[in-house]
Amino acid sequence: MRLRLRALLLLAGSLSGVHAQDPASPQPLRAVYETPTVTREMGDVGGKFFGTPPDPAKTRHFYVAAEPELWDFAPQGADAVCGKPLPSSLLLFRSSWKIRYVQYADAAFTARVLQPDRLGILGPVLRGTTGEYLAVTFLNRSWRPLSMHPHGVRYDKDSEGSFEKGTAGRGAAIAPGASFTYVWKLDETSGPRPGEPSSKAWLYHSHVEGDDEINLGLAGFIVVTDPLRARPDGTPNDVDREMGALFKIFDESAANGAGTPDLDDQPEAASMLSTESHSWSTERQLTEETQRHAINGRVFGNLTGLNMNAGERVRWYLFGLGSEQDFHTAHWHGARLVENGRHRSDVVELLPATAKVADMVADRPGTWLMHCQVGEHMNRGMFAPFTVFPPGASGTDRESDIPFFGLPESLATLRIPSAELVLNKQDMRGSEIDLTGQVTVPNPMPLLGSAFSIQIGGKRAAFQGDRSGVCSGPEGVLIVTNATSYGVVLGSVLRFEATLKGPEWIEELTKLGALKDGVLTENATMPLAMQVGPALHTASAQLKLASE
Amino acid sequence: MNRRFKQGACAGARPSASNEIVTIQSLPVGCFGYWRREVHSSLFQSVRRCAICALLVASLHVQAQTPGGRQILPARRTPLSATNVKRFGVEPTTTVETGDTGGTFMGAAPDPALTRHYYIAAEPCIWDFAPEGEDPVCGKAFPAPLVANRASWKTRYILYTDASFSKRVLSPERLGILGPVLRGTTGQYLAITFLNRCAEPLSMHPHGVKYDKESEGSYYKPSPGRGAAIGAGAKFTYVWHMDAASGPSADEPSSKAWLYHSHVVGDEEINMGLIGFIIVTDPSRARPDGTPADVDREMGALFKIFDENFSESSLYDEDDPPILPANPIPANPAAPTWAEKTQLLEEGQRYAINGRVFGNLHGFEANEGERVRWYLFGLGSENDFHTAHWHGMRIVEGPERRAGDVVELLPATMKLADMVADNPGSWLFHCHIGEHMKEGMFARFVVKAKGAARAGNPAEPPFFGMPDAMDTLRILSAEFGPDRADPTVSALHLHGQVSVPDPLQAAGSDFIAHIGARPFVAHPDNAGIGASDDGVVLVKNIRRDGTVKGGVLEFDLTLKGAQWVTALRDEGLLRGDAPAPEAVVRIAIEVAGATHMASNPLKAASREGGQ
Repeated sequence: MRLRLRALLLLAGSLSGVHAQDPASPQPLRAVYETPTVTREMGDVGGKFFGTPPDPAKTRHFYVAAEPELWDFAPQGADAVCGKPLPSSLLLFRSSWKIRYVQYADAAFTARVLQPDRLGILGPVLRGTTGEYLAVTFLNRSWRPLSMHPHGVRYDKDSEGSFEKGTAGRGAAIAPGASFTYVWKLDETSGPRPGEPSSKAWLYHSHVEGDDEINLGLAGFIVVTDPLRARPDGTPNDVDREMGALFKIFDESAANGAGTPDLDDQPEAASMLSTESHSWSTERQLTEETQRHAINGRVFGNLTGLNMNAGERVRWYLFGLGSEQDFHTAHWHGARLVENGRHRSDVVELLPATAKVADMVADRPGTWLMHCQVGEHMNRGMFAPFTVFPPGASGTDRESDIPFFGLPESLATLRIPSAELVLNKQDMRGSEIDLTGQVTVPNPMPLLGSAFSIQIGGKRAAFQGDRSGVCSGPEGVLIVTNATSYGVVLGSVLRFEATLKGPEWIEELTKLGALKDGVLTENATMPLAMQVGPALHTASAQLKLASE
Repeated sequence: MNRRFKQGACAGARPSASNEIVTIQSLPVGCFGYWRREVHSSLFQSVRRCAICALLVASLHVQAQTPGGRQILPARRTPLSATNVKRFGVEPTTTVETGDTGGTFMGAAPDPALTRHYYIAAEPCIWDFAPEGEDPVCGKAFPAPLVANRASWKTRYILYTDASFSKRVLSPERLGILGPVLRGTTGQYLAITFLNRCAEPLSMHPHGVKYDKESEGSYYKPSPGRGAAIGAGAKFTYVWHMDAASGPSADEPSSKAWLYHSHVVGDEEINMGLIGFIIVTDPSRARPDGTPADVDREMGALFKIFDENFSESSLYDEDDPPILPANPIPANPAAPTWAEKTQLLEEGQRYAINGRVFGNLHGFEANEGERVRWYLFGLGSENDFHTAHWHGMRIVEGPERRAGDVVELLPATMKLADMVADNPGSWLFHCHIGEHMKEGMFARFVVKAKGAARAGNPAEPPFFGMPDAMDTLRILSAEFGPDRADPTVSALHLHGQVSVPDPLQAAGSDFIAHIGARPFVAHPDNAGIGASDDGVVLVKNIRRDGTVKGGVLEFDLTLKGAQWVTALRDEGLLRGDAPAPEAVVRIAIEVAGATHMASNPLKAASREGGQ
């Protein structure tokens, strides 16, 4: 009963979180938070490395916002891998409010980058080669001061991102609505030594108060490659694909806390969530029931996207974080790995803040289990499937097949995996283009009243959002396939199917050279732009002829 | 049982918010938190016994610590018969009566030319986990159980200058609760004369070195060695050989460290504070003094959660009932529930680096550009897995010299991490495990920029365990110039630290300083001020009750007037009215019946007045 109440209250709390996302109206600060070192009024006072801006030619710039998000630890609602029944405390309490690092395409902070599914709750991967700089413009869209504290890279006090009494740098605590550009150098000691594998990873996380912010979801990682063993784009040249896995138990008890937005305006809720009203043992029990034994923030096989092709050399970046229960032994079925370039095993030990590298050759096709080998952790859902696809496999949902993290080309905000042309030569008015795609949107996004448009060449089609998910317009129809029954898209990715009708589209395709004399040219591609609210997304799609 | 229980216990146990947590006049205060819990909430018997045993340890300690009897507080209770103490049925293997039967290695005395000799006593003390009473690093509020119970009785390994066990060596601040560092190079021997000044039998058990059964320092059946359990008041000389397997192998860094600890029964003696470490250097990569040639400074850090519940140990035999305290504890009407016990256990944890919490460990300081070697250790129980993390700089670890900024530690792990201190500033050093961070497992690490004054506190020697670091008196500054109070008079200002028994009743005792043949005699009062016609001494760390705790007396000494100028001139230290170039003042200080000597360059008084 008590848990049920708490679940309801958290849901209530979630509503204020929605508002907190708007930087213009940050929630009032709780007195317990540290005093921010950077406020909105100050503007971005960062961007320097020991007093001078880094060489732009050697700098990779990332735009990262911290945003509240209702995070579902098991979006499938079931255990699709082992078929275990989900524990009742999880069923009751599958989602809770988290704050995540979200990557944007540019300084406008309007178009979110599509993140590979396999990263789960993790923030964007920041990457570079030894000798380069990472400039990270951080915008705090949450209700409390936050920061970005990196491991493994070189920084001055301002870019440390950690609070310290008296001597805190400017990046130590960024106020709600404020932004700050951290500059981190990938110096000699950031990269792998000659005996180490060609790339290595370091954690980054928020570090204003301590561990709370990691538990909120504010963690990600940095990959540093040895330039002597890198491709021109900075990826390690002896690797075909990268995976990242954080083994961490999330503590969803209100006692730990701050997962809930400010409850000051809901005194009743606040008092229910307050630890004062519980005995120590009740508190303990609640804490235990609300542990989420997660890999990248997903439990019971709900982490998806750990896909690879047979024969690929796959590098796993492995991390631990958390509390006293967080010692983990990551184990893979169906494969063996070489840890840190030396030690052959299929188990890697992880403690909080450990970062390890393990290399695998995906030589056995099939779907295999990856899990923590610690007894309770396994029982409580710390496992995920990974799939090795045999050569020539098709028909899988590998839409976000990005082998490497954090590259400029993976900064897509719109993806069109399928674009089909239906030509009606008898009556061109009956011709149409069918698109299937994903585009990033604010989280959550209500469809009612939202405006969309799709543009190909000079032709533009506008759609008006509808609670049912069917958005219609004079030029066609756009169906949102992942809207909730309330007409809201959660999780920041809008999936859609669009049909563009009429002969004008065919004319545009002819103008673009994709169609010649009513026949598709070889490798016909069409550039496409999509407007969602203020954000403009662009992509190009491979055009195919619809099968009969 | 609800929250009120917890708060009640804490509130009841905490008399005031000042530094005066524990005073000698009220010996059992170290256990007050538990006493109150007993009284208010009827908790377990063993806690009570332990509260009592702390009393007894204290009383015995008072007896054992009295060299002259003059400065030390009178013993308030009758000590236990020293040789009679048994613990879990352990009969001491060495007693006062048997005398020191050690000193041999496999039956023969080691070659004196290859032997480094140390004198170590195990002594009780009241250990304050957070002597500053606040968090100077993160500014966090202390958890209530820590506020209620900041200090408790511990037993520590204390280094003495010689076999007389009368002068304690000043320990570097950064070692915290750790015992003295013992060091040598491969091929050498360590001889440690161990004196047990506690009531219960104790030992020294080393890791990593070669020993015979007598020098193992661990008690188990069927035939414990003579060094297995040293009785109260007894002495034993352990001899440990640093053979080839003790030192670093060719692919390891030039030195390595091993733990030592008391091991009569088990882990509880470690929890009492009886721990330290040994450094073994490869002689082919060492300086002539035995320090690793590729390193400029050493740090040591033990990550261990101290369990201040006393619940694990009943230090006294059931058959030998100790004297009951004046304030008897009411009978226990109801047994505590499992949850109550567990809650108490949890509240009694101190998440410490070298025995200090919430940034209260000082002395992690280096100069820019120095090559700093960190010896890292874990010890303790199930919750003692730690991930040491540095901000600002990275380390290389292990034979493969992997770069990182996190080192994993489990109980009895001994690791080494090398760092170049290339990023000046003040940085956080902490355990990365959530609760541990929250509960105070962090300290500050300061890298002084080039051109800044030498690494902060000159009391922090760069290397541990060196003969030249065996100071009992340290003059931190010696300045000659106009008196700060009366500029018409010339004066010598000295600022320093001298080791003293712990505790020392400083008020009313003698404080004598000599320069050349001329003495200065004063008797500090309860404020620490001792004045005479030609000078004044201020005992800076005196407590309100007139005691000095922790074994170190900090003083400011001003010697003024014509006669001192003459004395300095006689010593050849003045040229005209100013200190001669490269003048070194030698001073002797007599306190608590022991005489300590030190010297320091004499400087002209700085305008601001210095320290």
